[in-house]
Amino acid sequence: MAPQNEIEVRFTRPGFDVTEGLPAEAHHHGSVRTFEYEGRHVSIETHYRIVIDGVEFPDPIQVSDDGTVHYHGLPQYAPLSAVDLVKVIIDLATGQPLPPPIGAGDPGHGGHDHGVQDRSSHDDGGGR
Amino acid sequence: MGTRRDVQTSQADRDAYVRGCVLLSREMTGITAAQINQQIGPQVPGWQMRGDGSVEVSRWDLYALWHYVTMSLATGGQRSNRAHGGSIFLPWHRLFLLRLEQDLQRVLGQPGFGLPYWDWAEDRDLGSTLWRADRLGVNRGAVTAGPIGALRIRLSQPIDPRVGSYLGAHQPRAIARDAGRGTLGLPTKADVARCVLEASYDHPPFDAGSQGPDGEPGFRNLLEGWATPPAGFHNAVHVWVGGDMSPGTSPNDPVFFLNHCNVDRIWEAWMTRGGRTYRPLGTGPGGSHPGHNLHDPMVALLGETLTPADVLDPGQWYAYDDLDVEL
Repeated sequence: MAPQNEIEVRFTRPGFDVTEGLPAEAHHHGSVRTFEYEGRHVSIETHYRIVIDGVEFPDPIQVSDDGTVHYHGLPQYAPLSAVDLVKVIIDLATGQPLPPPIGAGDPGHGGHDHGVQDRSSHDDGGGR
Repeated sequence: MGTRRDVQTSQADRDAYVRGCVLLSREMTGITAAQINQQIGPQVPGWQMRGDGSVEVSRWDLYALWHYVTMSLATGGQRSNRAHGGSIFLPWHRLFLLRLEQDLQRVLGQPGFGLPYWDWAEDRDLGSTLWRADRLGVNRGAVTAGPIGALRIRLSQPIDPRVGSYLGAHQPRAIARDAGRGTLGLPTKADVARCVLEASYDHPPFDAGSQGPDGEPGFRNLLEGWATPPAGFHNAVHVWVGGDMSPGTSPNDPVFFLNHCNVDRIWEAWMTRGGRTYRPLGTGPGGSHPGHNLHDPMVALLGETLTPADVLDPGQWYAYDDLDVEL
């Protein structure tokens, strides 16, 4: 049955919990692969530090048990090499001026390029 | 109840779908990017929103937002979030498509409208008529001609090497595609048959690395596309279309829903063949995978939440015209 009225936009309700009561996990910058082999317990920790033109790429890159790498900014892609992943990230970068964080100035306004600002420096009430 | 038909063979459904998408992109909500940032941002780890906070979003934009937010909510497991990389992938997208279908029924004034599907295993050429301007529009470059050329989006997810990826709010623009650039092709009929023949819905640990006792990936993991890296099945369709179909805001492109409607059709074919089973149950053998369990609430920004158990049988909402898969 088609609804008679528009389906409600729930997230504008005061106190709305977007997680539906199941809090999200933090994004981890490292991957830990563990397994048992020949009676031994093995743990492999991997941390990628990617630097592009002298600037450290801030988002976490994960490696899975099968060795493929994954970045949440490319949600459907898991290449065999971090090199391939970074090449795609560079290919997709627009090179356009970086827009300002929303809420960094007057609420509800923006649109000027205030230059690069690290996400940890925001104080606009957005989640981090 | 709507009937979901092939987008290439049902011109009436295709034309209505395209018209409805454009109508939703013109239906303004009164909600600004700054409000979204204020209300949702504090609840989402790693949230970063940039651009013009005064941008007012449309009803269509809310679907890109909903998808982006849901995939930003990580759960335990490899590549797992509240919509992907786990068992929840199929039920959550069923809920997501259902809400859009109901929105389209409303704006079109057609209570019996059913979302069309793109049978990409059958219709898989770069030069397919699907990409004509009078159908879904060009598959390379900005889609500015034909009916879809009138669709505008205001939220998207750029990647910048300096700050990573973020949700960007911008002035309205047309969608863009970049199809068939890489080495990946679209899934084949043999691929679909392999999916449907998988015996189990999913295996522990119910994430992108799910594997059964004999190494089989399970139906969900195979169909989602993690078992055949770098991208298979559903994932490969996103990567193949490219452009606005690539990032977390991929519902910006109407092709998103055509792809997922076909994925949902394959799930329905699998359940019709083998029974309406689901894992993880949340208790007992197989354990629990919070955010993916049979009775866990799914993330819903539009309408009330549902659980996977609620959507295992979609018969009260819609049916497919064709569930035959060549085996």
